[in-house]
Amino acid sequence: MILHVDMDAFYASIEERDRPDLRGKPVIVGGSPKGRGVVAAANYKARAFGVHSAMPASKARRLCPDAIFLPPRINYYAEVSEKIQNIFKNYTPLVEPLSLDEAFLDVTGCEKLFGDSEAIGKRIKQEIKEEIGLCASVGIAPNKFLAKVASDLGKPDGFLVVKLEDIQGFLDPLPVGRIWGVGKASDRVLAQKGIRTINQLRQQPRQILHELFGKWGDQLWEFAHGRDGREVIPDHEIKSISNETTFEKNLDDFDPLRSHIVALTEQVAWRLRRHNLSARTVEIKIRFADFKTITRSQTLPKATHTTQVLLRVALDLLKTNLEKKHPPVRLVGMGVSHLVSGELIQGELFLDEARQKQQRIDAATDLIRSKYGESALKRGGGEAHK
Amino acid sequence: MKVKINRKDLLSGIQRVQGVVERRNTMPILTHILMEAEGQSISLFATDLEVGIQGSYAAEVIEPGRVTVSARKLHEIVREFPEGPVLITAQPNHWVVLESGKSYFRIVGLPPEEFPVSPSTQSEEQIKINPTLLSGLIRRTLFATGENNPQYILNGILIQLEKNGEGEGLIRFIATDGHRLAVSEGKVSGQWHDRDAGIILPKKAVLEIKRALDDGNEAGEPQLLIGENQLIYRWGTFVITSRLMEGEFPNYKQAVPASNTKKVSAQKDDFEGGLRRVSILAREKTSAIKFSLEEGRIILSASNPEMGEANEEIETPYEGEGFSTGFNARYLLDALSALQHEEVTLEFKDALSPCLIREESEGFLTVIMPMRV
Repeated sequence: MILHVDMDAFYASIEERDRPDLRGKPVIVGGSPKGRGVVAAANYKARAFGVHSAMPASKARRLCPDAIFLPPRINYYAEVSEKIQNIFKNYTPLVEPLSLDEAFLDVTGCEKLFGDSEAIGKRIKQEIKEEIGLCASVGIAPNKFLAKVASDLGKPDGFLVVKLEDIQGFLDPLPVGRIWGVGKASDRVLAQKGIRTINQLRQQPRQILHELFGKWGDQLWEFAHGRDGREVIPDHEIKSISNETTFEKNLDDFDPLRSHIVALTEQVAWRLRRHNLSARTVEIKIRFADFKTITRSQTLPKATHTTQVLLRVALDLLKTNLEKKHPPVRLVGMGVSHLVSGELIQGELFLDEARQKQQRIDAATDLIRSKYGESALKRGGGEAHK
Repeated sequence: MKVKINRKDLLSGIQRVQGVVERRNTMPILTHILMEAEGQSISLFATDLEVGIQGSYAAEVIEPGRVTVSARKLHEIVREFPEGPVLITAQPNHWVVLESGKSYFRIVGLPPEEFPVSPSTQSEEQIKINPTLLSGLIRRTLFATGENNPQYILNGILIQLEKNGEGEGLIRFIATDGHRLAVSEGKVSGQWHDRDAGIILPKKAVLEIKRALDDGNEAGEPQLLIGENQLIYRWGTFVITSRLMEGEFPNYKQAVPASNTKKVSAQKDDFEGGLRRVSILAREKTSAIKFSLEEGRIILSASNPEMGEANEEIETPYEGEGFSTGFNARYLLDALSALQHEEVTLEFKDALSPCLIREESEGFLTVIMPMRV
């Protein structure tokens, strides 16, 4: 069985925990409402006013004028996160953190030691409450997909177990938007076909979904049946990191595509560095309007995590593989593989100045991001820059 | 040729040239030792064409001459001989007979004319150097040289000579593998030409010189002679010749930080012990450990997903701003082993810049590039 443990309003809850004067009040962690910052996290009191993460802080202030705004302390949250992960690791070595505030745990085979998965889930939730002083939502199910849906559904302070025999009954009434990866774009396409619930999705012939979404359609169909073959992969066994964007409107021109690749590479490189990894292979993925998808990759002589180097390769791949006359593009992705595992990277004494400068830029941007959040800083020419 | 020599002298002579005897059989003559008897001694010479080693040993020369024999077989045979005299006799068609007590060996040699000529050991440029100083220069730099580094020139040690006055000056050894740098210098006397670039000696030659110095017990002081494209080390009758490496050595001065203001002192033994212990749980391939600096303490830690984690605190009077960085523990340990004093001072600028350790009174400095956390 798989556990998905998701901390409730993690950053905001930590602030509330540490400052009793905040309790019971709407708390928003993020950029200043006076500037152009965004909301990184909001507690449930603030969410009741319609505030959610990634919303401009100025808008959040309008919605909830009484909210208390706090600057994020990411390094501190990371320390708390590490303590929580140590609790997980007392139960199973198979812990896959997705971010600071959520993780998958595979507890298969741990039952003899600690009781069944439900008992383990309860104990973990309890320990987080007692030792850390925070509230977690737990979803327990036979696979990752179901476990995440379950923890989401239960929020806040949730605890939901989906047994093998209950899968269909659990999924069927849910809206398709509950499926991981179904965003606005896919939601709209499905709605046009009259598909609103997972039950309706499940009733579709697989072929129809394949025609609509390509491989992703097959995946959707599997999810709708409650099937997910992905394993829980602990941090140090990460094999690849990738990110992709589906556009609201298909794109024709090279420049906006280029901008998206810049933004994606920026994120992938940051994640690489955050995990102390370096990559040897860079891959890009282009999906056209007709769902024809191409992936192209290039392997470097030396593993790197320098944004500039990865970006140069990714843009080269984009340029050389996108023919002059190509169908409109609905998705681009960028990924890295052949990772050099979580090791520190030995610095060079005799770096040429250009390389040294790039590494310093990366270090500086990482520092700013770790203090002010991922969206605090973006490379010129990136998607957000326009 | 017919020579009588003490088994012990012969054996040590053979062992001293072993390091350059070719093990592969690409050029059979290079797997041999050339023995040359003349006057009242026998000289043994071996070479791999890059480095040559020659030693002379007292012997009773009944008939002068030259022979070559397989270095490996010769070593195996003489090693098994009992103490006492060994008689070496050349026979027609390059046969060599070795006799000791009641043992008799007849082994086949090669024509001595085929053996590469030992290079001339004459040069105007002669430097006298104290054997302890030379040992120290090597010991404090050898660890930082590259090991089969693809940047070929880093597999050598740069030797610079500076004149301070008539017949006097400084000799400086510089080694780097691109991740760390070691510079050691000392006073020498002699005659040499000014040259800006210095000379680059292959690591192998430096290792052989070190071995020769460790064996020691020759009369007088060692000499370094700089010839055309070669360096000659001579101490008494023992000679090592080495080709010089050609290429551009990195500008090491550029890698020595000038403004490292964070000075972190600690007891060398404490620091060394901490490094040894914590690195037990570092990943084997990189020996990566985390180095965190806080007011009053250094925290060394290592973690290995397959094993577990370790950490240790080391006291320091440091009071400035702290930071965290990573190091290859082996690089730090190597550097510490080159130090003389009981207290070590690590000089930092920030987490990403090279760390400087120096003992000015000893004419030594080393620079270590951290690992990025």
